[in-house]
Amino acid sequence: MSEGHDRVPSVLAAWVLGVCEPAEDARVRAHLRGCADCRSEAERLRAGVPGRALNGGRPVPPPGLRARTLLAASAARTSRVPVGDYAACFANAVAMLDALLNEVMPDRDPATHRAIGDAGAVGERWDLPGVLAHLIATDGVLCAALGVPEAVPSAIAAGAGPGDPDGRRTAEVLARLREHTLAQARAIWNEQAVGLLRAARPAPAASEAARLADAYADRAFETWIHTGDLARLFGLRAVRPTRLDQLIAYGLRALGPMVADAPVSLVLTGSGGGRWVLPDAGHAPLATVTADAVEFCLLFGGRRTLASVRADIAGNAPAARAALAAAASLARL
Amino acid sequence: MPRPEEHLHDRLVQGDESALAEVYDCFVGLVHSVAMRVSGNRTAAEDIVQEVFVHLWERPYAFRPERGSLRGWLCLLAHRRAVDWVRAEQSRERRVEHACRTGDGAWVASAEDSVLAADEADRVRSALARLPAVQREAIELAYYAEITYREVALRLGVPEGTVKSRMRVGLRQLATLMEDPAARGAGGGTSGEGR
Repeated sequence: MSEGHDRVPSVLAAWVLGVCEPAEDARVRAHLRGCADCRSEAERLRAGVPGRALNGGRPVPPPGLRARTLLAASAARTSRVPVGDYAACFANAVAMLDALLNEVMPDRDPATHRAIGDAGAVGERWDLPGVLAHLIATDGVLCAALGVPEAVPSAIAAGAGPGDPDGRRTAEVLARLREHTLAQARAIWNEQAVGLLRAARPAPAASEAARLADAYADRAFETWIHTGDLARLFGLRAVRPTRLDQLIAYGLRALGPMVADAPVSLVLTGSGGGRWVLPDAGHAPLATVTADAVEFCLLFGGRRTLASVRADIAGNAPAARAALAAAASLARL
Repeated sequence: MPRPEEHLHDRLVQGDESALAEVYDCFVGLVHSVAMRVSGNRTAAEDIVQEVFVHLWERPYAFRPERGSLRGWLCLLAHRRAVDWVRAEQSRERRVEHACRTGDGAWVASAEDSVLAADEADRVRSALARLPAVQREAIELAYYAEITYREVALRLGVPEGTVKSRMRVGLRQLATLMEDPAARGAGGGTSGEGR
């Protein structure tokens, strides 16, 4: 029974402490039955483990601690604004970026309190100043449309004029924020975004509902995509939106009319996913495109290309590729 | 790593307060017991519980689901905070001793909250306190939080062999200390780090 003896002594202390994987536990037990040396070593180590005996009579946390802890927690993060369901995806995206900023620009870090201009802003396009300025600029467009005060009012009309109005507005905001610190830029972004959330009344007029759903999903989309850019930059986890369904519905409303000549069936997997026939269920699809729901949204968001998107196609390949190309062409972030 | 914890992390990041309540209900017993066992002080343990869960809420990105379980991360956090508390307490006690000797320490007698006064617990704690920090951490996480050595290794970013070795050297020394509390540093086990 000396099989595997070499590997047993090294794991004996972990075994005595009861922190082996189950398979390893069985292996050690089997070995100990036949190995007197390891048995006596285990006894020796066990003398150092009186702690288990203390497990009886473990004091329990008092019931009041739960309420106290949850209360202290809600004070530690910007509290959520109650919004109409159509804006839930934006509330989530704002909370997501806010949490990420808690992580990557701690208050005690001097870089957080240096003027953006002095810190050599705009290294990467989507670094902290770039993302904050861009969201301040583009959220501002919706503010103007809804009559919510804009944080940095711009003379550049949204979607008008030559070139890239969003890009020019972003550059304008970035230039005006040069004297501000990152912490101040963050506060400006947050305050304006919260203003938009406060404007998202629970029950909008029926005539307004569709327009508002698109407008808030658009802001959610952009906020989520750029939070993802920052997460990549800082090596943090890519978080999956819990209201991905709203982002997908928004994307598909725009995509539907673009594939009217070559209908496709779309199968998006994972939470928030589903099955659709585009442009609508009344058509016979020529092809089926299957992809993870997040992956497909990244295509809409310009973070995947026709070449890099992980999607399976079946049926008429040109029709499927045309639909993917149409989705990619919607990206404007 | 399991999908459910990633989904829980998604919800925490997106400000879903019900996700925090779920995590609290699931792990408060464990976090409290780690804090209680290391600090031996009821008030301190409650404060540590609160700090640990508030930290998870405020800095959800600090927890990395791909690097191990939420349970392991919360225990590690509780352990570190409790060790910090004990250190601060020890230095406070030294100041108090000094104050007593110099005559202005009349308030000392009421200050101690020795809830877990069992001799055994004190003996274990004082023996653990004599281990080098890395061995102590490996053993305490096993003792109190029951985290597998693989996960301890993953969380601390050290090879599994190193954790096993820390546990072995630490336990040997602990065994000696428990037999003879005067045998400070006995066994020469303070430097063994390899396999």
